[in-house]
Amino acid sequence: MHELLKTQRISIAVLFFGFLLVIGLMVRKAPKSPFTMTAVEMLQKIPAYEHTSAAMAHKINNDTNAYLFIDLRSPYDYEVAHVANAKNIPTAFILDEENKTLFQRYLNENRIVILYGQSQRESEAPWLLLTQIGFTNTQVLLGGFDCYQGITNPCASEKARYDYAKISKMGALKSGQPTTAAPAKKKKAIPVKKKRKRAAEGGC
Amino acid sequence: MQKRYIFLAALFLVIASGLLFLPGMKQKTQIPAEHFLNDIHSNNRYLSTDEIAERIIDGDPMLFIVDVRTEKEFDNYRIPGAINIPFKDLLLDDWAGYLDQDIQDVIFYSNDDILSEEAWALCKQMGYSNLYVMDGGLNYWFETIMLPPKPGELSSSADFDLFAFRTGASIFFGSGSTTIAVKPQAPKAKKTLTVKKKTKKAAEEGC
Repeated sequence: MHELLKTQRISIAVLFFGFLLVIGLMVRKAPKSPFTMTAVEMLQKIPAYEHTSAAMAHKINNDTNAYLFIDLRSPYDYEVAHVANAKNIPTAFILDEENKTLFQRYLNENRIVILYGQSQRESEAPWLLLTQIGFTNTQVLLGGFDCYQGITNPCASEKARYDYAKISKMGALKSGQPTTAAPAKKKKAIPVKKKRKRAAEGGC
Repeated sequence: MQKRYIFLAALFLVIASGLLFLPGMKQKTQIPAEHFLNDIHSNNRYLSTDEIAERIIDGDPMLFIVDVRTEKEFDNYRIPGAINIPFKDLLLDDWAGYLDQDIQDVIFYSNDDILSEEAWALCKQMGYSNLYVMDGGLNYWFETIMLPPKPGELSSSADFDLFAFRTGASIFFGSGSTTIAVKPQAPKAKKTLTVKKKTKKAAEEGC
């Protein structure tokens, strides 16, 4: 009698455990876009990736067999102006299934996907993300759309535009010409005023 | 009875051995791609140069400014109080203690804001919090704070207030541009006065 109860308990426990196992497996979900490269690995490889310059982009934007431009801006900005033959995928939607299958197709066909935003900064993080989840055929348009259109000149880049040390230490105003021009005029204005005062005194 | 126990023990061992074949948890420390995309999409990570300058001047203890340029560039010029973590060393364990904390605001800057944006993205993926990027980088820092452009004649008073703040800030940060730049409003007022005097003089002479 006693022995019998014990086996029942054991079988119930086993059934319950099996049940838990099944539920666990059902609930467990794999990440939809798993990273193939961790942040640490990506950091090492960033200098090795090539990107497209604005001048290059003007040459290749008609070559739709080899390149695809992706406009990461809003549909409104895209309507106003965009790189010829570009496709509009706002940043928020780059991980949608249909877009991922598009990127996958281009990856399989060895075609290059070039991301761009208004500035280069806008496309940096989406590029990192796509590269890290396996779409290693993606590139960034250097300088962004502003540079492509020639709005910003020189194009934004990681180069220092000023001699930082010189400006901060000596206070030399080599680059701020409008401010150096202004004080010269003011100095002239002051002596003119004094002359008039003297003339008035003499008249009385 | 004994057999059953052995069978059960064997069963559990077999199930447990299944763990060996599970895919490696490579992205354990990283946030999921979808979360990261949400972070990219929200633009509240950008801090203006004015805001950062103001916080430095106020001596804000919550500020942790990180220069991701090379050591050489850092030695040449740095924003006061910044520390140097060259971009290639960003994710070394040595720096994790500084970057992975939720007390101070970590602000990345570089010459422009492209490298600092990448630094932000990689640190964000590691799950760090309170990360910011200085809008426009050092180039813009110099264009606004160190060499503030004089507002035009038709500018609003807000523009002049901003200019006054920036000229003050540039004194604080050691640019010599300020002695010249403070004046623009006063001389204009004097000029208008001289015009009035002219008419007076004409009347006196007439008498």
